[in-house]
Amino acid sequence: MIRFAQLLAQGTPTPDAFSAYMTQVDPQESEAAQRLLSGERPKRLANAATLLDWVAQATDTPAFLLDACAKTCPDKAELAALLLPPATGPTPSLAQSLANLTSAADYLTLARSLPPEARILFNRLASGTFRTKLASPTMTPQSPGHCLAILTLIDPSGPTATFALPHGAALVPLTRLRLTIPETPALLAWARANVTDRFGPLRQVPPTQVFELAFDGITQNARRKSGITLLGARVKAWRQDTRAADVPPLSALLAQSP
Amino acid sequence: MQMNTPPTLRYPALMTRAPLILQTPQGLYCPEGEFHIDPMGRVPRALITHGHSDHAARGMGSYLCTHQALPVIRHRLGKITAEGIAYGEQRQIGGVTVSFHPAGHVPGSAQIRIERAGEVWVASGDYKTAPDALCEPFEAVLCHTFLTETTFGLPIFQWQSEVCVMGQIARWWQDNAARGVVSVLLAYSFGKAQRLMAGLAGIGPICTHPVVEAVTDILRHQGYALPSTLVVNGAPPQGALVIATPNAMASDWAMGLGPHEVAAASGWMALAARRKGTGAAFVLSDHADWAGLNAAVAATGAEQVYTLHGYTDPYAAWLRSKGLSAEAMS
Repeated sequence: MIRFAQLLAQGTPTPDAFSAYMTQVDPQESEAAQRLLSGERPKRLANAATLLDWVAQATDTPAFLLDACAKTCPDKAELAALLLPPATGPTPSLAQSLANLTSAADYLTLARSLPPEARILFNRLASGTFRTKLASPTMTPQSPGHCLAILTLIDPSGPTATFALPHGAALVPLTRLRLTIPETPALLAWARANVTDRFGPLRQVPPTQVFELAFDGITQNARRKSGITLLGARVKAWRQDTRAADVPPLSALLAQSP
Repeated sequence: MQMNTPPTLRYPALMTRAPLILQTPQGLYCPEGEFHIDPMGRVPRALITHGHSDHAARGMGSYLCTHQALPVIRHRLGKITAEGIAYGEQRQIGGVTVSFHPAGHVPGSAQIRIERAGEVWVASGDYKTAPDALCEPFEAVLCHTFLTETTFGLPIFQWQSEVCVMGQIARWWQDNAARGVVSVLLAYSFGKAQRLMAGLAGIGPICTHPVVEAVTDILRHQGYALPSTLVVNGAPPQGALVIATPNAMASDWAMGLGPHEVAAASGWMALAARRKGTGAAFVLSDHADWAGLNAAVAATGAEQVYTLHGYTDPYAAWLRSKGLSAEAMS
C-alpha cells in the first residue's frame, strides 16, 4: 500500500515508474494495482463525509474543531487521514486493504495502520473517489513518440527547462520538463554564462539549443498556447548536432495529434 | 483526545491582579518590568526567546537572551547592546523576577518565566516538546498563566517520531546517491538546517549553502554536536546531501549543483496542498504538534491560557471545552 501510494504521489505515474513498481511488489499487489489503474473500481464503502464522521467519532473530535480543521484542509479524504494519530504496527498490502473492507470497524482498523499518504489514497478508494487511470497499465512500455524542441527557459531548482517550437515567426512554449540527462551540469554551465533575462527563478537563454523529447501521447488542450499537452514527456537527448532553424514547427507535431 | 490531569499548583491563584503581560503594537509587554518580549517595533528593553527573525528584530535599546542564543542573534542583528543569561538564572527587572527555561525549538531557545509576588506567567515563545539530536530539551514550567504558541494548533498536525522521519530522509538520500544524483534538502538556515545535519550525521558527505554554513559554524564553535560540513560553490561531491535555504534554489548558486533532487522538511508538509511543487516532502517541525501543545499546557498546570500565532481561536476554544480559561491574545 505504501509503494502504491508512492507510485501515485507525483500524479499519474510514467510508464517507467509503473514498470519499476510492478517489479518491486508481490503478484497479489501488482494484480490489484493493474486492475485499479485500468479503471476497475472497488465497491464504495461509504462517501468521504461518512468516513470523516467515523474518524471524528473515533478520535472524539468536537464539531467546532472539525470545522476549523476543514478550513485548513478542505479535502475530506485528506482530513480523515490526518485526524487519526500516526500509524503503529505492520502496514497492510494494497490487496489486503481492499479485500478486508466491509464495515466502519474494518475501515478504522486499516486506516489506523497506514501512514498518512497511504491513508489519503485508501480513503479515496474506500469512498469511490479514486480517479487515476493509465492508458495501458501493462508491464505508460509503449512505443513513445519523439519530437525536437528548442530550450527557452531554465529554472535552476529542479532543475527544469521549458521547451518551445517554432510557430510562424514566434516560439510557442510546448512543455516544461525536469532535466535528468547526463549532460545536465554542462547544460547548466552553458545556461549560466548565457542568461538573457530573468523572470523570478526562471532564466531565459538564447533559443539555440535543440533537444530530443520523447512522449507517450498527445492530447488537445485549449489552455496551452500550443493547443496540446504531451503525455509522459521526458528529455531524451541534447542534440548539439542540430540547429534551431532545423527544428520542425508546431504544425508538424499538431499533425500527429488526434 | 484526552488531556492529562494537570499537576498540583505550587502557587495560590491571584487572578484578580493586573495582567503581567499585555499585547501591544510593538509586541508582548510586561508593564511592571518595563520590558517587551520578542518585540517587532523599536523598544528600550527586549527579552528575546530565540534568534529567528520573527522573534529577534533590529532596533531595540538592549537585548537579553540565553547565553546559547546570543551568538546567532549577534550574527544576524549586527552591532547591538546585548547580554546573555543562563537557563534557570533568576534576575530582578523592575517589579518582577525573570528567568529563561528551555523551549526545545532551536539551540538556545527559551520560554520566559515572569514572577510577581507568587504569581507566575510564562511566555512560551516557539517550542517543541519532543526531543531532537541538537537543542536543549523542552522543560515545562509551572505557572498560573501560560502564553502558548499555536502554530500547529489543530488535531490534523500530529508528528511522527524524529527517528522515523530521519530514517525516511536517509532512505531518500541513499536512493538518490545510488543513482548518482545529489540530494538537496531545503530548510531554514538556523535551527532546522542544523537539526537535520545532526540527525543525519554519519551517512555520507553533508554540504551546505554559505548562508547555512555561517550559522552552522557559529553553533559548532559554541559546542553543539554538529558533523563536519563542506560549503558548496559549484558541483558537490558524488552522493552528497546539500542543505540549503529555499531562496538559494532560485539563485545562480543552484545552477552549479548539476542533476539533483529537491526535498523540503517542514511541519507544513503534512498538508498535500503544501507538498505540491516540491520533489519530496518530509514532515519535520520545530514546533509542538497537537499532542505536544496539549501535553505542554497540562504540564504547566496553568488555569489561564492565552494563545498566540497560528490557530489561536480554535485552540483556545478547545481548551475552554476542557474547562480551562483560554482566549486568543490579540
